Amino acid sequence: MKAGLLAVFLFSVAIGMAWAGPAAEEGPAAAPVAAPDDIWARYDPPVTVTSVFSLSAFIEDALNQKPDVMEDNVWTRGYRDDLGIEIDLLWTVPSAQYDEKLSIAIAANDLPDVIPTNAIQFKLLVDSGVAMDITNLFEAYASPLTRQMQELDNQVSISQATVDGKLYALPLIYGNVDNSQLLWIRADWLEALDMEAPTTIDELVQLAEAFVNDDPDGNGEDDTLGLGLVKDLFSTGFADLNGFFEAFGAYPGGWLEDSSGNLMYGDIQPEMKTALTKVAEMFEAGLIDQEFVVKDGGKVAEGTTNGNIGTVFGQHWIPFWPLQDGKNRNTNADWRPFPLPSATGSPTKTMLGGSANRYYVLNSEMQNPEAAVKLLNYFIQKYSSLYSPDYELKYIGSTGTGETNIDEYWEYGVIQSWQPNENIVFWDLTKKYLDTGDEQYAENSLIKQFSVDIGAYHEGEDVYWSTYAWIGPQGPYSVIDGYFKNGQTIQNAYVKANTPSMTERGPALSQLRAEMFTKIITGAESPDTFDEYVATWKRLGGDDITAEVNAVQ
Amino acid sequence: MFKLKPATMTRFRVQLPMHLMLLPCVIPVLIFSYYPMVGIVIAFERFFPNRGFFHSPFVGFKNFEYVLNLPNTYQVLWNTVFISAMKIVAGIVVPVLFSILLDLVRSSRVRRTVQTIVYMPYFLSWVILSGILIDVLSPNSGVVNQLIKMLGMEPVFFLANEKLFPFVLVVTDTWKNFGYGTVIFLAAIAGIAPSLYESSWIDGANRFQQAIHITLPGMLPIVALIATLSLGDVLNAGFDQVFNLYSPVVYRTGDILDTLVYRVGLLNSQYGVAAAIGLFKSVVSIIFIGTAYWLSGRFLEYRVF
Amino acid sequence: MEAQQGSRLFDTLNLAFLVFAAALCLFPIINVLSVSLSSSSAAAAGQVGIWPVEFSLSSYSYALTKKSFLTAFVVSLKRVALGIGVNMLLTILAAYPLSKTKRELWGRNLYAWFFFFTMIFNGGLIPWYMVIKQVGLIDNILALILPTAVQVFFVLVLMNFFRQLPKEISESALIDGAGHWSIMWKIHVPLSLPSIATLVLFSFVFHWNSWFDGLILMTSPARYPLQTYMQAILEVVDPLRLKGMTAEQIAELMKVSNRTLKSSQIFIAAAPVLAVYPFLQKYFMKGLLLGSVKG
Repeated sequence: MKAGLLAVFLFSVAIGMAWAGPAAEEGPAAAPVAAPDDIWARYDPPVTVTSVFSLSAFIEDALNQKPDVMEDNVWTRGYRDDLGIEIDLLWTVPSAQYDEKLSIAIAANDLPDVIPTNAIQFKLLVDSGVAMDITNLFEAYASPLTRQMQELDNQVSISQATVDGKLYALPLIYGNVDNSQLLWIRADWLEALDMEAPTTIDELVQLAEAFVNDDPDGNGEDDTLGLGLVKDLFSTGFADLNGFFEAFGAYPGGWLEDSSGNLMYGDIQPEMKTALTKVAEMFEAGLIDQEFVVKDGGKVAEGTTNGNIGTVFGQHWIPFWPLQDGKNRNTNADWRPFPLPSATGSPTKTMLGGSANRYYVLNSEMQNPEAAVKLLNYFIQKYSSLYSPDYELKYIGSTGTGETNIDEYWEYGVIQSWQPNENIVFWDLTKKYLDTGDEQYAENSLIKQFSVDIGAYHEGEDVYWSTYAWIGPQGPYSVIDGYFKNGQTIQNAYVKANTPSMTERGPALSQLRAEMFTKIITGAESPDTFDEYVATWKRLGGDDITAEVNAVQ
Repeated sequence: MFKLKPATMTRFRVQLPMHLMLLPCVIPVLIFSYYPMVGIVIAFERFFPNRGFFHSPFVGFKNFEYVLNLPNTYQVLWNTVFISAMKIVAGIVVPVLFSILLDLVRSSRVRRTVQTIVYMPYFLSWVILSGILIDVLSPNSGVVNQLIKMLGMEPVFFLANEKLFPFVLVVTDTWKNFGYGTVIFLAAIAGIAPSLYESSWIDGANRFQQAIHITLPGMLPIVALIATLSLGDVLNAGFDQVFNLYSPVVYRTGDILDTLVYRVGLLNSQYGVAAAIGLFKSVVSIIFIGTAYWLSGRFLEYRVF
Repeated sequence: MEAQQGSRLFDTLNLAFLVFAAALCLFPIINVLSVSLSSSSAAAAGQVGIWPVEFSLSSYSYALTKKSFLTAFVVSLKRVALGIGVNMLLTILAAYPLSKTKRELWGRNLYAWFFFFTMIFNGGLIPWYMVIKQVGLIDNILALILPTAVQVFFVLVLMNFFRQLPKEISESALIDGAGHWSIMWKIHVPLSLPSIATLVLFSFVFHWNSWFDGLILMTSPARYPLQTYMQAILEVVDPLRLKGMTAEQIAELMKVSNRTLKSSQIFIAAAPVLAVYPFLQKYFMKGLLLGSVKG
C-alpha cells in the first residue's frame, strides 16, 4: 500500500525485457529506397500516423483551456493541410511519467508507429527488432535543412542513433553545446572581499577559504561554505564536480582518445586521483559541507537559496533553478558564470557529450515510414527561425507564454528537433539587439521577448533575473562562446548506445565508483586506494567494456 | 446406479450457498491474479517483448546466476534480512503495546486524539520525510544531536554511519507506520466481549491484570495472523525508505535487495533479472509463511488462516 | 490505597508517554503544513520549521483553481465509492465461508490457499496489463476496481474476526432454519462492526492512495484519479531530467515543482481521508460506540 517508487518497483518486479546484447536474430536488411520526385508531396488521400505524447506542464495548462488541443493545434492542422498526415495519439502522459509509461508499453509490445524513446529504450527496441532500419529512408527523404542541422550538430546525434552502421531512429537534436561546465560565483561576495574570480584551482581554494572564514555575506555569523556539493558527485549539472575535475584534465564518465587512437575511460585515469586528492583536502579543511554525503540537489539548493553557498560548478540552466530562488530571497545575490579554472597550467577543456535528447524510433510495422521523415522535415522547416525561409512565428508561439492562441506553440510538434547551437545564437542576437536596438537582430520574436524581460529585470523586477542571468550579455553563453572560440572543448569519444558489458556490469561499476570516491573525499579511505579501485574496476568488467567500446569505434 | 447418501445430500444442500458466495470472489482472482502468472516464465527467459512469453529464448537460471555473481550480493542479502527482521518485530511489538497503553487511558477524548495523531505520518511519503530527517538528524544543527550535545556526548552523523544506519531505518520506519498499525489491533480490542471485563472486575482483577489476562489474549488471533503474514516481508526491507535515505558511505550496511535490483534492473532495463529476483522473493516468502503456518498448526493446533 | 496510587502514577506516566509519542508524530505533519503555508522561496531555502515563514495561501489557490485538479478529484471519489463497495462485499462473501471449519465447508483449506497464494506470487506488471487490455477495461474506471476487487488481506482479517464470534449463535440459528446468507448478514456482520470499519478505512486509503494503476491503465490525464495526477507534480526536481531540457521547459517545470505546492497538495489529497476518519474511528475504538458488541 506504500505509494511512490515501491509501487513502481513491485509492479515492475516481473516485467520481462531483453537481456543486454544484440538480438539473437538479425532483422531483414532494409530494402533500398528510391529517391522521391518531391519529398514534400502531399498524401492524397491522407495517411494516419500513430504516436504517443509526453505532456509538458505548459500543455497540461493548455488542456485546461482547450481540452482538444492535442488533436487540434497549429502543428496538427499543418500536418493535415500541408502534408496530408493525420496524427493519432494512442496515449498522452505528463512528462514526469513518460519514460515509465513507455517502458511498460514497450514490454507489453503495445507500440505506435512513431515511438519517442530515451537512449536505453532505443537500444532495447533495436535489440528486439522493433526498430526499423531507416538508413536509406532517411537518405532519400531528409530535406536540405534537415541535413544542415545534422552538420551543425557535427553528426553527433545521428551517430548516437546509429547501431552497427545502420540508422535506427530520427534523433531529436538539442545540441551538446549545453553540456558545457561553468563555475558560478556570487559576484557580490567577490566584491565584498575584494577578490577576483579564480583562474586556477589554487585560487579557487583560496577563494573558498575566504568565503568560509571572512564572512562574505557580512552577517557576522560563521555560516558560509566554500563550495556547494551534491552527494551524487557527478552528472547532475548543479553543484557537482564535473567542472572541478575537468580543471585537472579528468573526465568522469567520459571516453578519451590516447596517443595511439585507442579509447580509454576517464574514470580510471591518473588525473582523477589528483583531482580527488584535492577535493579531499578541501573537505578536510572544512571548505565543503561536512554533511554533503546525504544532500541531493534540493538540499544543496537550500544553501544557495538561503545564502550559505557562494560557489558551485554547474551548467547553463541553473539560474532558472535553483538560483532564482536565491535572488527572490536576497536581491543582492548576484550569481555570475565564469570560465572553468585550471589546475594544469593549460586552459581547461570542457567535455561535450551526446546531443540527442529523444530518439524517434519507427516501428518496423509502420505503413508509410517516410511520413515520419516528412514530419521531421516539416518541424525543422517551420521551427528553425535562424535558418529557414519558411519559419513562421505561430509555429513557435508568438508570445511564448501561451496566454493567447494556446494552440500555437512548438511543443505540440509530434517529431521535434532543435537547432544545435541556438542558445549561443540567441545570446549573440540578444546582446546585439540590446546594444544597438537594431530590429534586424530581433526578427525572431524570442529575442524581443528576452530583451523585454531583461529590461524588466533592470527596472528592478527580480523575477526576471533568471532570464537575464541565462541569456543576458554576461550570461553563461558569453563563457561558452569563449570555450568554442578558444578551442576549450573536447568531444566525448563514445556517445553511442550501451554495449552489452555496460548494461551488465555498469551498475556494479557505478556503485563501486560512488562508494570509493565518496570515501576518499570524506577521508574514510586514503587517496591511494584509487589505484586499488582502478584494478577492481578493470577486473569487474571494466576491461570488457573498454574492449567493446574500441571494437565499436 | 450410484446414489448419493442422504447425509451427503443434506451436507451439499447446506454447503452450496457458501460455495456460491465464494464464486464471485474466485472469478476475479482467477482472471486478474492467476491468469497473469504465465508471466513468471520471463524469469527464465531472455525476454523479447515482440516475441511474447512463449517465443522468447529460454535461458534457464542465467538471470539468477547474474545476480548471484554480482559483487556484494551476499552482503546485500544479509542487510536485507537483518533490516527487515528488525522491522517485522518492531512492526508488531510497537503497535500492539501502543494499542494496549492507549486502551488503558481513561479519557476517550485523549484516546481518540492521540490515536488520530499517531496515524498521520503514514500518509507522508519517504521523499518528504527524508528531507525532514536529514535536517532533524544533522550532526551540526539537528534537534536530535542538540539533545545529545546537551547530555555532554559527541554528535552522531546517523545517516552516514555504517553501524547505525540499519537501526535508523528501523526506528524511522516504525515511527512512520506504527500509528497506522494500531488501527487493526484497536479493532481487535474493541471486538473483545465487554462481559469478559465485567466478570473479571467482579473477581477483583485490576486494569493491568485485565490487560494481561483479557486484552492481550483477545488480540492474539489477529496478532498471530499479522505476524505470520509479515514474515512474507523477510526480503522486503523497504525500498522507498532506503532509496531516499541511503548514500554511498552506507552502502555496505544499507544496500538492500530491492535497491540493488532497481539499479541493475530498472535503470538499465534488465527486466529479466528483476523478474528472477521477484520470483526468488516470492519463493522465500512462501517458505517462511508456510513454515509458520505448519508449525502453529502442528504444535499449537491453531490455524492462522 | 497503594494500588490506587500506583494506578494513578501509571496513568500519569502513560499519558506523558502517549503525548510524547503523539508529539513526535505531529512534528513532520506540522512542518509540512507550515511549508505549504509559507512563501515558496522561504521553503526553498529550508527556513521553515514549526511556523510558516512569510505566510501565503498561494499554493492552495494555485492547486484548487486548476480544472484538472477537480476532474481528478471527481474520478477519485467515484473510484473510492465503487472500490469500497466492491471490496467490502467480496470480503464479507469470502470471509464468511472461510471462517467455517474444514468439516463445515468442503474444500475450505483449498479455498484459503487459493486466495492466499496470490498475496505472494504474481505474474508481474506486463501480463497483468495485457489481461486488462484483453478484457477491454483500458480507460474504464472499472480497471481500477476489478483487478483489486478481492483484497486477500481483508478476507483473512475478517475471517479471523468471524471465527472468534461465539459459535452457539450461528449454530442455533441454523437449527432454527435460518440460511447462511441471512446468518451472515444478520449475525456476523453486525457483530463485527469494529473490524469492518477498519477494513473500510483500509479500503478507502488503498483506493485513495493508489496511483500507479491509474497511470498505466488510463490513456490521458483527464481520466487520472487524484493521486496519479498529483504524482506527476510531486516528482522531485530531478536534475538528471533537467539536463536535456531547454530553458523554456525548465522554467515551466519550476513553476509547478516548488516545495510549497507539493506540500499543499499532500494536505489537499489527504483531507478526505482525515475527514472520514472520525466516523470510522468510533467503530474501531472501544467504548466509543453506544450499544456495541454484546457477547
